[in-house]
Amino acid sequence: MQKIYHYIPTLIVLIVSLAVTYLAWQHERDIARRDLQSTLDFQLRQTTSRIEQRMAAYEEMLRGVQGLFTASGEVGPAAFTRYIDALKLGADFSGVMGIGLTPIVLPAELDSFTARMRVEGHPDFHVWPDGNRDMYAPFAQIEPPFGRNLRALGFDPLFDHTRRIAMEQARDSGNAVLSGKIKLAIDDDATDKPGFLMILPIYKAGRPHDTQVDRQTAISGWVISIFRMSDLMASLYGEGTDGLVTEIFDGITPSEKNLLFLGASTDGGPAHYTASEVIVVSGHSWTVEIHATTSFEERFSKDKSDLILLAGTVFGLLLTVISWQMATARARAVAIAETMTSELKESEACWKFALEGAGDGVWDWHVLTGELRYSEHWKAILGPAGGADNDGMQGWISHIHPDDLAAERACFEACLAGKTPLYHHDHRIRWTDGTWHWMTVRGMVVAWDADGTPLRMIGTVSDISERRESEERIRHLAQHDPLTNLPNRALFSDRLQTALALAKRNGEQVALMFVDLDRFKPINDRFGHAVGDLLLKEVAKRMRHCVRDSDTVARIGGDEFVVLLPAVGSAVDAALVAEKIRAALARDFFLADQHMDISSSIGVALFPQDGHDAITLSKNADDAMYRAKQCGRNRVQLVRERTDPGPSDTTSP
Amino acid sequence: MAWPPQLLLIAAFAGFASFVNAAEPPDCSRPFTLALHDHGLLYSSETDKGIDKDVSDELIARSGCKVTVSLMPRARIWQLIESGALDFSLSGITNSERDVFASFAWYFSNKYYLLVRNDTGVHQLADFERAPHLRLGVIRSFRFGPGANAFVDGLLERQRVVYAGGLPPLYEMLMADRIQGMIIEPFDYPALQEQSIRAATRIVEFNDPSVLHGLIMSRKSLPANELEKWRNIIVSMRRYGALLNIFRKYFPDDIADTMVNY
Repeated sequence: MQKIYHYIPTLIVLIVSLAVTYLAWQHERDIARRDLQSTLDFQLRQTTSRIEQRMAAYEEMLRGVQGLFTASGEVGPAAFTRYIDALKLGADFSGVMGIGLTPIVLPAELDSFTARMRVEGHPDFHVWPDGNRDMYAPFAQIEPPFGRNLRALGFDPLFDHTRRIAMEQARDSGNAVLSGKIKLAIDDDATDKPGFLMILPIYKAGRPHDTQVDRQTAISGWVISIFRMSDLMASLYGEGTDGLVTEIFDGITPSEKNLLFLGASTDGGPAHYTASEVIVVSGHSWTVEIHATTSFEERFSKDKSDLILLAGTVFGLLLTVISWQMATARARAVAIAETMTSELKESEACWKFALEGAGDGVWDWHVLTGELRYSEHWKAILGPAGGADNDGMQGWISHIHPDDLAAERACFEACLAGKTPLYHHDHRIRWTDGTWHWMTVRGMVVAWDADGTPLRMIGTVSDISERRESEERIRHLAQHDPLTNLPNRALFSDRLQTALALAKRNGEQVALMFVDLDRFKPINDRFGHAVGDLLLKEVAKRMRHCVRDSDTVARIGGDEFVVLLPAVGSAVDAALVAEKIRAALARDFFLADQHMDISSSIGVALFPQDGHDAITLSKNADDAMYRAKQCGRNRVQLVRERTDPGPSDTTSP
Repeated sequence: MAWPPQLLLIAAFAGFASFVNAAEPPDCSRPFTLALHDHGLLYSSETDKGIDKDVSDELIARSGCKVTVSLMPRARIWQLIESGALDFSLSGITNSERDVFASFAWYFSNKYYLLVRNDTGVHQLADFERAPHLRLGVIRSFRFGPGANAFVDGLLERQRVVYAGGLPPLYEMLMADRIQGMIIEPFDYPALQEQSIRAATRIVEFNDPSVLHGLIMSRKSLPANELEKWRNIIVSMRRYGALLNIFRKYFPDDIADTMVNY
């Protein structure tokens, strides 16, 4: 339903644009049709005007003949011929086949009339068609008197109804009258070309013909122009424009029966446009029709409607597509957003699953609001107190080990300030159960405002306690004697170097003692290595009790130990400690239900008096220790021969 | 208020004297041409009679000039009046275009009517306009009153106008149902078939005022002062009843009076 709603505006645009296109197309087509029709009407008017003018000229010509009879009364054949010759009817009158004279002959006069005609040079003259009529009007003369025209001599047009009506109409009005469509008497049976007559009455000279009755009484005959329609039209130069078909019908009804003339078009297909007009020529109606062929339409049509239709449709469809884009943009954006959100959720779920599965927690800090969100795993680590969202960053910081806090904050601020791309710091965090865990925390800024101020920071947190413990254990094993858990030679050497460096900087003294157990080997041989090891562990324990926490006791050989006293006050202080150790080791040992008695020989070297570096100091301390051995064991020997020798330097039981 | 008879007599004499002064005869130093058109009671070529024929006879007689009268289609008459090849014609009406090339001497006034076939069912102009199959027959170049002109022009745009060269073919087409309506004037009924046409048709009026008809004079062939002289002849024909007498030959007296005394 919602989808349909989205399509309604698009549908409206489509319908409106197509409707507008249709209206514009129709409007343009109507205008073009009207233009073409108007052009055709103009052509029709030109044609009818030419016909009317030409027929008026013929009428004038015939009136001239009428005038001849009016002026002269009796006109002989020779005078009639001379008059027609004098008219010099040229090409413009080529439509006139002939001009004839038809005097009225009453039945009583018929024989004498025929006889006279035969005497006057027409031996075969007879009035035809045969038959008794109340009046005859045979062609007594026809000009020019050649060829087929002579065939009309003796023909009585009153015999034919069409001709008779026109002749009577001319007689009654005194005006020129056109006959209807006829087959001309001058044509033989094989010729089938329509023709017509133009008839003008001749009245007896001196007789009034003002009224219809006068005219009917005074009529003496008619002068008749004989026309063949096709020849008449051919004489109208510029008969028509190319691409037009002209038809002329007798009367007001266009039909094949009434067809007077059919002009053939030289080119073009069937006509789509037609114009017609009924003209009145000498009291007779002709219907003139012109038909425009396709070639005329092509030449004169300004019809651009198809172009409008095409352009309008394309534009409309384009508009529809654009409106569809606009109308559905939001829906499509929402759909894309939903897809993206879905993909993001899926992705987040995957990442969450991966991170949670890997034991990592995820945090997301909005800098401006201070809102800090944790993943479920992170909340489980810190608990409600430390991990609640509303505690924010301060809640998190409160869980960081105080010793690690400064470094952690410095690293965090550096990242937030953009100095480092990543925040990565290992520090201890107090879990909700109160235990401290080493955690590695990573983060990065993912959003800034226009000024470059960080807006959002996301990251992960992982518990690395086990890794740290493992690393610590390995490191411890590498630096300590596994039997006594005392620092081994490597760690001791490292601490010696550190102590010397500090002493040099602070102007302090350092004491280095080499301690070797006396008579240890017999015990080892007598009681076995296990007991020997127990003894060594006990020795180490007693030695550690004799020194400060800041001092170092290390085992560097089977029964060899070293002691480092950094920041010792004087040689006397060092000697006192050494003596304390010697005394502690000289006490009886009861181990594994055995009584054991050992002692120790201790050589003491002091920095800076007995050497400025670890090697010199070690060598001198070792030398002193040997001297103590040589002097009877169970003794403390200072490097006295190189320092200030004195009785107190050597102690013995 | 009644005027004393002596005063009326003096006024009449003064009017006549002023008219006589004004009625200088036209210059007859050349023959003139006048064309009639075959148009109902105005002129019928079949009978060689009509109002225009009578008016032209009277006009020619009063002018004392040689005037050749001929018959031609109305459209051709207007063309020749415009070109100056024809001097006069009769029963013309004007418009802005014709005023440019023709001058008129009015002598009657009448209304135009739509003549429609009874079988069309048309009772108002709108009925005719609404029926797309109905065709109107019009004589080419004829103009009418404003309402009738608009009616014709509207139909012309929809290609519903059939042109003819004169009234006879229009009546013939109307009776043959090739056209269903035509615009006529009171004198347009043909003398011979009047009854049969009246029986088959009805009249619908246009809302136009009466339109003046008059002698058409070509401005191109006649100088302005000559136009005035010819116009004075028509004025005198109206003033002294010659025109009324002519119209009374063809119409009942009351209709003739209405047409001439507009």
